[in-house]
Amino acid sequence: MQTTGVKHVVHPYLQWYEGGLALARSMLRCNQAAQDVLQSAFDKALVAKRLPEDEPAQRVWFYKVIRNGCLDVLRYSQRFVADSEIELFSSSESFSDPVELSQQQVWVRQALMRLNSEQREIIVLRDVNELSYAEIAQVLQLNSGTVMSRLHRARLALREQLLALAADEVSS
Amino acid sequence: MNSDQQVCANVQEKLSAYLDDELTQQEQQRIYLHVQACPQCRALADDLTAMRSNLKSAVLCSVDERDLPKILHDQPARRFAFIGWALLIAAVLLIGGIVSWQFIREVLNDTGIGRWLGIGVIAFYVGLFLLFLSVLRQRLIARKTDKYKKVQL
Repeated sequence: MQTTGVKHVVHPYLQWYEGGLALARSMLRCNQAAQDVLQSAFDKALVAKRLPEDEPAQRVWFYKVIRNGCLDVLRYSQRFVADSEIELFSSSESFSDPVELSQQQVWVRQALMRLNSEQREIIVLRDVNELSYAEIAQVLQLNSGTVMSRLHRARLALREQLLALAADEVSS
Repeated sequence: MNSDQQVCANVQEKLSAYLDDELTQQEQQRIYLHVQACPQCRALADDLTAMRSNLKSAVLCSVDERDLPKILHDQPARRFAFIGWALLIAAVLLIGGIVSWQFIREVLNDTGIGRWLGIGVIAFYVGLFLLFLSVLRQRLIARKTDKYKKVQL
């Protein structure tokens, strides 16, 4: 294939790379699998014939693609692993990395990983990627009232996990 | 007291949406007033806010910076790298040229080791240099024609 004349154009969807990776990582709990999902999402963004025109809609589209990719991966791995708790992805080791985090941030991340996937994805979409409730509703295909209550319950659950972690720390 | 708890429960249900600024102005105002007045609800609101700010940094900064293409495309860094390489190559050529010229002259003029041995030593080094050049050329061609070089993502 002829590649001359191709400049280093930064693809507009790359601005959502970090956020998308955060979403995929928190859904899959595995860095490598998350990067694979991101890769195929970018692939789709390059190949797709009909993409939304305006940027907010493109963002929603992109997160939807990532989420569906993650769901596919989870479904696929569940086909071979009888347990609903998937060994590969539940190992938190693959999620750790050398970046320095404060103790509080480590706890927040651990607490997040203890939530169920529904709660994780909605929290990451809102608090990390800063989607509005209407956009989250589109990505998750819910109505915005459900988004509101589910997000609130997820945050309360996260807070409970944080308190539990802090209590563990004190008792040990 | 019971009605107070009811009010608190109602408010707390909407607290997330209040913090996200997703309520109507009227409701936003109502919850603002309640949170100001009720220490319990304010504590919860503060907790949630702190959690939210921690969350973003905790999950986002976990992204491995090495796989971010934008660092590679940082313009000043690329320019520095270009200038650095150019200077390095110029210096190597200059020093190498002078040294090899001196070397050749020394060897040919040195009567102690004999003319043929001198030519042999020079041929040895020239041969090494040519081998290096051939490998370098192969590598450069491989690099130039690598069709996956510009693939991003």
